[in-house]
Amino acid sequence: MNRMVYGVKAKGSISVKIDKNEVLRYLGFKRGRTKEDKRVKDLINYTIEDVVEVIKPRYAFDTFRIKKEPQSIVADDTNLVIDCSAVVRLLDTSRYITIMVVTVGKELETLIDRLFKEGKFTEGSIADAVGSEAVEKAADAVNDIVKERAAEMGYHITKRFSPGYGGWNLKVQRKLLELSGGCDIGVTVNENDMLVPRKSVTAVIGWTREGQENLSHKCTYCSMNSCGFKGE
Amino acid sequence: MAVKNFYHEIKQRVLICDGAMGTMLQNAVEVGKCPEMLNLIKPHIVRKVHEEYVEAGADIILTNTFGANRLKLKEYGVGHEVSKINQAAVRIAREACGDKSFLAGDIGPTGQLVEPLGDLSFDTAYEVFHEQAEALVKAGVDLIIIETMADLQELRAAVIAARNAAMGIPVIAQMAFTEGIRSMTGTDPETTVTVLQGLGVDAAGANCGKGPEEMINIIKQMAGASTLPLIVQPNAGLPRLVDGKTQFDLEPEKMAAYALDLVKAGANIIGGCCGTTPQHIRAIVSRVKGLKPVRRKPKVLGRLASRAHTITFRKNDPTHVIGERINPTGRPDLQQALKSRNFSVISTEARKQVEHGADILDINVGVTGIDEGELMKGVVLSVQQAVDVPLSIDTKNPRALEEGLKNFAGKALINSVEGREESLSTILPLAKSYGAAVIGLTIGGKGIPEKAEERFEVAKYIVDTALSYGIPREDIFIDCLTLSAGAQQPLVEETLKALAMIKEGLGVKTVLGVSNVSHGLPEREDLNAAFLSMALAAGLDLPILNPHSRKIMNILRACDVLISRDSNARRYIEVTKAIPITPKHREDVEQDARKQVYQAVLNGDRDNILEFVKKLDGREAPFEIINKIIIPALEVVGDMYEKGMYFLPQLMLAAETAKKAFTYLKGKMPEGASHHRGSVVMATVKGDIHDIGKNIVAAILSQHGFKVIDLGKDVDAETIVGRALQEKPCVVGLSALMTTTMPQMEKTVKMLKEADRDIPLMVGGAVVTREFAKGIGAFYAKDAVEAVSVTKELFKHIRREEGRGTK
Repeated sequence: MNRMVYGVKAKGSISVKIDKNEVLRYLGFKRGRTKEDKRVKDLINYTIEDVVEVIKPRYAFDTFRIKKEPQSIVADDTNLVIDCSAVVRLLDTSRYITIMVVTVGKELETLIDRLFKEGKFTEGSIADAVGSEAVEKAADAVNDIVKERAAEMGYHITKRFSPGYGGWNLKVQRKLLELSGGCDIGVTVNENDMLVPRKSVTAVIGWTREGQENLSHKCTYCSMNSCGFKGE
Repeated sequence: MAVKNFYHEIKQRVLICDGAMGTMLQNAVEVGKCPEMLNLIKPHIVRKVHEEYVEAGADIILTNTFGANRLKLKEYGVGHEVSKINQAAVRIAREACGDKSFLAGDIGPTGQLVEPLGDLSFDTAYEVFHEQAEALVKAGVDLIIIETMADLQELRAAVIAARNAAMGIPVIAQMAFTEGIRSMTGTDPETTVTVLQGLGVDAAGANCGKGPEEMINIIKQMAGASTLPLIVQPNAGLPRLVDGKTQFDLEPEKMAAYALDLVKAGANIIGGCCGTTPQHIRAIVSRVKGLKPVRRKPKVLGRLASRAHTITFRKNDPTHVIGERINPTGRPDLQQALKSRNFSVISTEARKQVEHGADILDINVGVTGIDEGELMKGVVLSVQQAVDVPLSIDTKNPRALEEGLKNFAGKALINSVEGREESLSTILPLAKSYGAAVIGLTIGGKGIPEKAEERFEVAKYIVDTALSYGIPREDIFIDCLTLSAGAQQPLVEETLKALAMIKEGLGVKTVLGVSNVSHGLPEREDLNAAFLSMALAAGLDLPILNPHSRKIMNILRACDVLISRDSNARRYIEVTKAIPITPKHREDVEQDARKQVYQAVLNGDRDNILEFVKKLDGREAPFEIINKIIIPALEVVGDMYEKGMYFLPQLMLAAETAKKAFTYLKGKMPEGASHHRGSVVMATVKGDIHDIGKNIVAAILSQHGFKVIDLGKDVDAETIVGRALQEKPCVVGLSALMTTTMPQMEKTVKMLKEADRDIPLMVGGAVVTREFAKGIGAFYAKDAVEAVSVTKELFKHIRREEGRGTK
């Protein structure tokens, strides 16, 4: 039984559907306050199309059994130790974790750089926001795959948690990348633990017999209350 | 409770509606959960709230279905449960109120914007509302109340859908006025009631958005513009955030103190919105329940409306005109534009006509071989983006007419219906359904009668039929048809005779197309102007004409003085002063071009800016254009961005527009002259590859006239310091996204301070805070606009220092 869960891994390509409202949120649009502008909305629609054409969302993940220590969580057969209290709390009832990585590819980065170089600042900034939304949606899609695999085996999954949030040190990035199979899909990490290409995400998801997932907006859990992008 | 009763009761006494449901349930509903799901999972909680309101004395109880439409429910994954949730809500409310109160099915907004401002089509919005209204009606509500609408188009879709689903039960509709006394998308109270009265609601009013005091003025304005019973449901004062929860500051007694003023202002139904409780309702009941509503006698006037304003037809108002130029007949340029769906040509034509004095625009898109319905929809949607005037939908095709009426946010005019049974029975139901006014042509079964008396008979038939369809007299206009003086000379006089008879005998307004009279004759403008003045003398209310003709417009304004439609010749004097004598003065051209450049930057019109800037070639020094027009416009843009009225793409578009102008003007400047204010060295620090923020700041700074030296991303401290020492910039700007690269920022700052302590630093980025910046001895900028103001301050400082040095 344990063997079945341990080693649930996969990699592949996925397609994403961009939510225009999320793109607007990233760009600072405040409904009711910001001036409605059909021309800008058209521009956003076109840029979304352009971005969707160049991105190549890919993912990889692998699953590990975890052990609980008093202040931390250790993944079996690896040297991964998670000591961030927010993550330890999240994984309180979990028996396994899936470590995932997802990216929309370096092609988008090239596109954004080119747009700025050509003086197309507007399209450039919109494309960047679309990229942020695309990688989130890609991560959601992988989340769904993991959820399905877990359900087949009688598990619920916890919320997805990424380094850099809730005080989880970015240093863990390298380890997560290695364990999820990031190099298989062309994601690397630089000397400051940042993912390359930029629009990439690593995360852990817990497998638990208890509880159920929460449908609230992801921003609800973030402690950065002054954030201009905060949604509800 | 019988429906008949409602119509009776609302005349007899002031009715009290219940208070908030949402804020009452705030404690029962988890954040992020669907409040309407409580109808299925915890009905007892909802029932309890209803019971408290019944107990408090509310005459009308609203179901817990504010967000129970398919689009809203879909956000919670229960989009397929519309009928189940609505039916449960009605059952719960009925259990609580029995026959004691009227039970109203509550319908709120979808949360999406309808075209042309948003992406939701009118048809989809209609279907969504129809589905909910049908569920409520089937479950047995006594009334339907549509509330908290922020957008006129969504309100229209909801009302039309509810009315069609309501099977005769009363429909009440309320707008939320949040932006001063306008709705979120710009509609004022007068326009709201004008449109709602046209749509045939049973009561109209306002809710949410305002406290009771501010509602008084809104209700007064509505009372002066409509004969409809009025409903008002204010919030309990102003919202405050307490411990992460929204609270309202007006206590029951304080709120109730305004109730009498609201009744005096004209309200027939008073209730409460956000923050009100059964105690608030009880207090209101004790003040006004059982009072007789005030008798209002608003002047019954013809009204047409666009999204943000209403035009009325008062006896002594200056004559309104319909601009006739959006019509492809004999205009190859428009035919081409329509065929290729190049609507910007049409929008430009619309804008020009309004600039020249058109109050209403006629929209005719009849081009052979093209789907007129689709075309009408497209044109009506884009023209509304360009101008804010009522439209006259000009077509013989009923489907195109319906598309035009549907997609116009306002109260439109139909051009036209003929005095034949077939035409009347097709067009009048559309007029009624979409709340439009209508032009009747005096064309009977045998064509256009020659004699004035016969035309009068056709007009009478049209008016009587329209009245029988429930279209009020003030919404009927009669066009007794202008015939060409070249072809049918004697009939011109018959037209004028018929016009006077119809106006006198039928009490309706009259319309005439002016330009047709000169068909086939030379010097058409002269004939048109002469005919216009004769028609106005005969009593013409609404001419259709070419507003680009100065002669015609001058005659119109002159006639208005002579027939007492321009009190004290005020407008005549104003307009004659304002109209430049042809050929246009040089200064006017310059003034216009300056305005165009300014507007282009403000609107981010990067495609047309060069055309406007070039108009100032040789008239104004490039340096002046930059400093007196472009920079001030950019400052306004920055201000709008800070206030959240612009978002990032609008800021960037303005920057690109300014950049195009700068590049062009720089080429015009004498060698060696520079418009630069100073230089800025910018970089994303070592180890950080996230440079979007830095790129945006660099773009905006350079558009404000600073020379930006962008060192790129992942730049080490040594390189930054080296370049800074070489350039002596007024500031060095650093960005970092992640906490891991913030130490690099600190390192760079330290190194630069050691090398030259006079070069200031500015830092920013997602995780960088004001405190962090202060701690390392740098200035902080939270976004591109703040970066500009910081840099400007530093630049001013440097100049002052330099000034001192040379003294």
